[in-house]
Amino acid sequence: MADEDIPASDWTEQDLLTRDLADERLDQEQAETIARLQALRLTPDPDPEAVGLLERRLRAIEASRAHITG
Amino acid sequence: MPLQPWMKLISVDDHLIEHPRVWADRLSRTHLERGPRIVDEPSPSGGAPIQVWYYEDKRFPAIGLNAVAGKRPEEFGVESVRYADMIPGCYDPAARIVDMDLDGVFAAANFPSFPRFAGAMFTVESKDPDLGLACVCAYNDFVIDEWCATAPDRLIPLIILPLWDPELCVAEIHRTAAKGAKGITFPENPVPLGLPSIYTDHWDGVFSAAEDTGMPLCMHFGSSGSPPVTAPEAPYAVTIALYGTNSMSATAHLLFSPVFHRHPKLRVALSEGGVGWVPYLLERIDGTWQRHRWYQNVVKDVRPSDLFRKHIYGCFIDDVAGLKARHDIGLGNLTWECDYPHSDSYWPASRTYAEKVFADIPDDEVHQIVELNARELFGFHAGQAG
Repeated sequence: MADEDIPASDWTEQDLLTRDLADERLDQEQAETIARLQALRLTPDPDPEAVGLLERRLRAIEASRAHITG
Repeated sequence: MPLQPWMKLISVDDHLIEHPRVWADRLSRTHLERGPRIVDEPSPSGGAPIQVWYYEDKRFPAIGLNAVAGKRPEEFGVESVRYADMIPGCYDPAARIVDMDLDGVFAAANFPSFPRFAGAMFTVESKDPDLGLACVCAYNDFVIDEWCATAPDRLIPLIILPLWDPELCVAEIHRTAAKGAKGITFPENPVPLGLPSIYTDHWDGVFSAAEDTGMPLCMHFGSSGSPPVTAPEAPYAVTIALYGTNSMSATAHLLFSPVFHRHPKLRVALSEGGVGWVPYLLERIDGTWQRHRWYQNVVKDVRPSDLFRKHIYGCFIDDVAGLKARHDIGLGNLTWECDYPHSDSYWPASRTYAEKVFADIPDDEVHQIVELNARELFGFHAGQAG
């Protein structure tokens, strides 16, 4: 825990999303998206459009991660 | 699912972090040495050098750069970090668009960081007004020509003003409107910044220029430089929890002042203050006006809540109380915000989260709140970028 308050002269909201925090969130989002995709594929007649959307989302996660992790 | 896939989320309150060359690339040689510049300094903890802003001869270690690299909320602290520790979407507009795509957010208006939320840095800290004006213009040129030009149909330009001189403000409003500005950041209360209040006629030219150009005044909470600190021993959590009260104060000032009577086309967007408090405050203000207007210097023939609905917009990320009261507030007065890149945001799941927030709201109302009201507010219409 921080042992002193942030000496902000304005409301500057110090808590920016940082690389590590963003990477953690991407991990979580990726895991949830993969789980949704797997569940969808296990259905008798998976909607190709819904599958495509989730696959695109996985690619978007990787695109964002490429920026974030450099 | 009320938040339909074709609805475009527009965040009216995101933030950008100015990259180190925003002013270095734009200031004249005369101003360059004293303009905002990033300086590497040894880390107090012995780690990699930290990066801090300097402006004129003053050091600003706590503005915009003191992110909490890789820490969990319980570890948030005060040490400055380097740009390399931030996610590029903070300061790189191309990376921002990638992050917005993933987040399901179509467009966003961004507030400044180093200049403070209403650009007051250059008013409060400038010893040289010529330099201050050059810095204001440089920021506005950056935000229009570089940041928003990256994706003019998705990034909404908000400008800052040389608040110390209303005539310069008017000139800057017209200069930037001509090159595509869509909104004007303005202090939620100018008085704590040492400036005249909105009850005076000091700002009339500025407000008229905002009307003439169709740009709203965007008042982010905290932009008065007067956070709600209630006790010396109170943790910062108290201040954070109470910041919405600054938006409440701004609302009361606006509704009891002559501003909207003198400027019938002026619109104000209250940023990050939530909306759940609106019904209570309007009831209270109307009640006060009903009983006490006769002996006070307030307009006596227009009910304050009518002014609110005509002139003021609120926004929220998640505000269950506000959504329940949306018809009392006014559907036309509600907008949505994301708050990227602050960790208050739900990135990269803002759209997924918004689907839950709006689950019980009719589709047409959701569309109005997440997209249409913001387009109207900023004159940011589909297919009419820039």
